[in-house]
Amino acid sequence: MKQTIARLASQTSLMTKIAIPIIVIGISIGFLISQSIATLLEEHTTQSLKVESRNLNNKLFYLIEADFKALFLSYGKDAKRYEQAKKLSQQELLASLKNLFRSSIYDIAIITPQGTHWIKQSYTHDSILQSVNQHHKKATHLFDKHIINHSYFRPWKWNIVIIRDRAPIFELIAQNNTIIFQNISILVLLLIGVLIAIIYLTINRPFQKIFAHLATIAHDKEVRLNLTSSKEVVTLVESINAMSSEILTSHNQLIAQQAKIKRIMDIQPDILLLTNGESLQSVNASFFKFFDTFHNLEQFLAKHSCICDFFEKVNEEGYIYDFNHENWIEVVYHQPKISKVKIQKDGVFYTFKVQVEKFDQNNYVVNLNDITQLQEYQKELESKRDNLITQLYTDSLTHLPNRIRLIEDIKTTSNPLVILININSFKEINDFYGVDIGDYVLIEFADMINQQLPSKRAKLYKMSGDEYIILDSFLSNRVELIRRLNRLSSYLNTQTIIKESYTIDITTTLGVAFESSDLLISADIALREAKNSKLRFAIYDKSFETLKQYQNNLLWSKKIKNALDNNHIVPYFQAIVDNQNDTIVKYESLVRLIEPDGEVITPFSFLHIAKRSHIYHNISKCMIEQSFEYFNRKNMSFSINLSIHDIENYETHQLILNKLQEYQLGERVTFEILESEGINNYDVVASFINEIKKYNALVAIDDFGTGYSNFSHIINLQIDYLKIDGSLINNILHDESVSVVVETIIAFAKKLGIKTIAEYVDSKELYEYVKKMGIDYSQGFYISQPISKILESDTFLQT
Amino acid sequence: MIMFKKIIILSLLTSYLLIANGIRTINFAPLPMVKSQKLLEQYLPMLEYLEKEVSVKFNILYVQNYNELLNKLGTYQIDLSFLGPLPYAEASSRYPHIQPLVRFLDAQGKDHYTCTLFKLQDSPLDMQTLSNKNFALTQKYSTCGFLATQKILNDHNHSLTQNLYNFSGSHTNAILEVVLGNSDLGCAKSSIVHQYQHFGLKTLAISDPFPSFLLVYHTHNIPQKIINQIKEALMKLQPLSNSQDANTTQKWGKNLKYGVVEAKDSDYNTIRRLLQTIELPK
Repeated sequence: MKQTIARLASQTSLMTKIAIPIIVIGISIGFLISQSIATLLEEHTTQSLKVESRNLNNKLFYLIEADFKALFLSYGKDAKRYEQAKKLSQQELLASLKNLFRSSIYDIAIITPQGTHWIKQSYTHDSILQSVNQHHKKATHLFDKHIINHSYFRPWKWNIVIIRDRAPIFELIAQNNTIIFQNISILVLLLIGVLIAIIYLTINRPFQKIFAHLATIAHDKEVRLNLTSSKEVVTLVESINAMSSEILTSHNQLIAQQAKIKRIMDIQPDILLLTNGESLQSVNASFFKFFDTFHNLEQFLAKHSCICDFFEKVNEEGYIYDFNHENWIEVVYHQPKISKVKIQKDGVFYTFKVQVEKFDQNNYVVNLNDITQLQEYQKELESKRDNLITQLYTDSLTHLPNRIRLIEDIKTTSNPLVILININSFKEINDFYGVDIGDYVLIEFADMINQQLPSKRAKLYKMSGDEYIILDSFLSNRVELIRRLNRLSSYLNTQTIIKESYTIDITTTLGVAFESSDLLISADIALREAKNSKLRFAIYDKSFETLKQYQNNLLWSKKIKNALDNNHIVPYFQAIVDNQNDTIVKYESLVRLIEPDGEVITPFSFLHIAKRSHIYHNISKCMIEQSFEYFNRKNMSFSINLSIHDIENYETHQLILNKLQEYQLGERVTFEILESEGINNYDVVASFINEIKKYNALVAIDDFGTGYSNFSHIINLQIDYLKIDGSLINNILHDESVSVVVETIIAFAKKLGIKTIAEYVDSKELYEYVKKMGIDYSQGFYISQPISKILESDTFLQT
Repeated sequence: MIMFKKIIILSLLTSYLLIANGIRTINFAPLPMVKSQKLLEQYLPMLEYLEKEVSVKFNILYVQNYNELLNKLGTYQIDLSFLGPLPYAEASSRYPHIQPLVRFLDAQGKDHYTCTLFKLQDSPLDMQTLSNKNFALTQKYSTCGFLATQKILNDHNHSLTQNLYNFSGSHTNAILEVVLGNSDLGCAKSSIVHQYQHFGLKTLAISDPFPSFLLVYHTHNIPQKIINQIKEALMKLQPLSNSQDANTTQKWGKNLKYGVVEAKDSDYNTIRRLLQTIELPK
């Protein structure tokens, strides 16, 4: 019973708390609504009256304007007639307006210069018209409770005024306002009654149950609540049930998460501490792995109030040094440079990297990372690095600083002077005594040079092979330099190295350079100059031809590479005629370089440069490919020039065989082997000839009769043609001895069954002469210049 | 509109009868400066005179605006027309077959006229404050419309493009718009403005003289012989000096009754020059 009374009391209290303010608010709302309705009615009425009065005014204005327009168009040009007509028309107009608007609910006045004419007047006094601003074209305004609409018709200076008194309407609204208020208040109170009943049934009672249920959730119990009083309550109950499930789930997850975090902390290799600086709050498993004499934190704290008890005072940069129990953590936290501590355990020192992060207002998280091993690795690494640097800058044989060191030292030396020392004929020493003795010589000789350096500043470096460099500073005295170089050279050239039973005399050549942008190249040029001029030493001078050659070589190397890249290495074709019948029997493929401006460059300008590098083989390959490809489309014989280098080069050699196989042009191709360059290994040539003969290819010896011609070897080489060197043919008409040589070659060839070809035949006279001598074929400008394309119609007819 | 229909029916009937009798019919279209009911009043007496003097019959065509008139001149629908100087300059530049015949004199015997820029007497406007104002103009191809107004404003460093303007349709309407207070300023033929001065109009500026209105003909449609006869018939009248001639032209329209002079195409070069600097609105 008591519970029932208490429950009713609590419900009554709630209802009272809600109902009283709602009743007050309801009555207030009723009052405000009734007032608002009254105001709205007044405003709406005023607005409607304004629009109506404006429309009425426009109507009047239009009628007056129409009347005026008719007068204007009819009589406007004649002022006198117009004035007469106007007077009559205006009187007529005012009369008709009065008649027209006699039943209007608006009062209408027209103020003319002659006076005011009331078109309709019911309750408006003349005094109201005084509020009209007669200069405004069109306007509406409120005066007292009157709406006044006014317009001005300019041609006649007429003011049209429409007036409506709102007072009767306002009185009617005020009378009805009290009734409106009473009705609305009753309606609001009825609504409140209904509202309270609904609140009690749908909200108050279910909420009591919800509150009781919420109390059970606080005890982590999951009990489901069932209420169906209203849709909203059902939704709320469902939400609470879901929420209570989620709270319990979250609670369990939190516990699991905490366990997980502890596990994560424990598997960390670093020691993690939670401390306020003086005492430890919490530690991870790594802590006890290190401090293995303790099994839990209580044991540790029983003996040590602070972990800093273990910190050694190391007076080195980065280590914590000046500290005590109270301040150590602040020191580390505020001075990031202090990041290491040394801890002694069992007589061994361990180094830890220490990191401190603020955890909350009083506590810090301390991370102690054992870097003892890392430091040892670092030391080892530094030691290895030093060794590598030493190796990088040191010659492994003589232990002298090497070329890399020299290049760096030159940069830091003022007025650098380099003396390049080359041991003459060192290759022979190596070949004769062996590499070991050679190495010994290089080491010993380095010691000898070191004993006679030209100045105290001078330093010796070992370059590649048999070369050394002394780096010194030039003291602006060339005479003194030459004196010192003489002394150095004399000293070096009188050295004898004794090894085992051998006595080896050393001679050297020096190349010297200073005041040059590239001292090493300049010294090298000077050295070549000294060797070419058979001097003991030479000081670099810009006038040395070697430099020009260098530059020229560089220029042509670049041009050749570009030409190869852009397909500007092309074959030109020069005809070879049969001296018996003056007909072209074949064409020789001659290499040409086409400059970007179209200029055709002969091989004399670039081939010798190309031969010094592997570019030459690319030119050969290019010529072989293009010649085969071109003559495959022509029914002509042709010849291709080859040097001994081409034959010895595996790739070129293979390419020739491949092309012979691919095109099957063996019977039409002749390979002209340049004899002038000297063939040392005739076996290689013989082997090559044997291979190409399998494809029925022919072989010619080019430039025969100069330099190294070796008749005995030629005999063994299955030669088909001998091409007599142009220098012999050129002089054949003027030099009898040359003529004899050529006759000998012809005779020699005939005996061996080898055909002969005369090149450089550049005149009719010479052509006739070589024919007379019995040379089989001719080639030269008299017959045809080299051409880029062969036409089928090309012929040579002797004239 | 009823009057317009009457004219059309009358014209068609007349044309039919003339064709039946073998007499040449000339289609005449005057400039639409006045309302249709005044057309017969103004032009019929002159046309009746010409029908007597030259053995032709006239068929009056009413066109509603300048643009329609120009288009019909171009499409051979009009043989003879009464034009203002600007429409003539425009028509002759479009159609080479349009040629001038005679120019009409005014009551003072002048063969040119001016346009007047005016306002209401009680308006505070002057030539220095002409921007963002409302102008009442006649028609696009009326000389006193855009062309003359823009020329006057340009001479005073102003432009119609800095103001609002509307084409009221005629000189009288342009004046009426100002009198009613719908526009701040207007521009119309000076002689017409003068007639309405008593409504409180005040002249702000007067344009340079323009060559007077003229008769133009279509060279392909009318034989030269007939053209010469019409010209002779009009030029022989000297109403300003001869009372008998004045009697003949008494009932003619005010623009027509004071005699003519021969019109040359070069008379209208001043208009062409103006058109090179003033672009008419599209």
